[in-house]
Amino acid sequence: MRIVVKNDGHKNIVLRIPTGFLTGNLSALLVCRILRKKGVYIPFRHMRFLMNAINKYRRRHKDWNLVEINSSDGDYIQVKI
Amino acid sequence: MENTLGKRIAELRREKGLKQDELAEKLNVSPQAVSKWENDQTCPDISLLPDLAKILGVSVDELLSGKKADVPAVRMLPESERKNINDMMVRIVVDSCDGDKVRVNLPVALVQVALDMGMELPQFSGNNMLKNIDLEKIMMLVNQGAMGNLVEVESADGDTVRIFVE
Repeated sequence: MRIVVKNDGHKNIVLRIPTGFLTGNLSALLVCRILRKKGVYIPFRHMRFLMNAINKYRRRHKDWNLVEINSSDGDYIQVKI
Repeated sequence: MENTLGKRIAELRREKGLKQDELAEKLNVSPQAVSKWENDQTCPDISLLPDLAKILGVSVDELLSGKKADVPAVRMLPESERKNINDMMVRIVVDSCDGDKVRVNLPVALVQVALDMGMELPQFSGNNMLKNIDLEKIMMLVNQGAMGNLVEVESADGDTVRIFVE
């Protein structure tokens, strides 16, 4: 996973995070816990299923551009998986 | 849409999820040429415009003028013409009146999985504009062959949200 942050007048930031870390069991558990605090209950096995689906999709489609944000101030954020 | 040709090319290219060198390869030009187009230093050769417009999913007129063509927002495709659902993408485009632009690209297959799990959009985006959008109904339409601009919402403040499937 790659997170790119571009800010006018500042150095660009590029974060590279192993996608396996994002879709692993620990992340699934953390996401379930965070969602539970927001009142959304998703069983861990369902979250794992979703993470596996993300992994399967990612293997078929490289460079999946998940989110792109262009702010009016000229800031740019991109999350690529 | 942006007001210069170069910015329009850049915006449309990003919406399609293409890199500059991928677009260059499709058009048999150098990545530097695409970069120059997008920075308004040069213009694409006239002979490339039809192919460029096709790749970016617009007409040549839309590409040059920036005005969207008056085409039907949604098409219902017969089964023989439909894409594999694993290759389809739900694109959520939010343009705020302040000039902020957000683009989210979600594979249709993943949206279906998330819906089956009981997830709803506003709980993640926190965006009240998406609150009344029934994603399940949208997915039902997609499964029946609907493609294109399925949802377009404009708030009183001037924010717009579009959900389209391609």
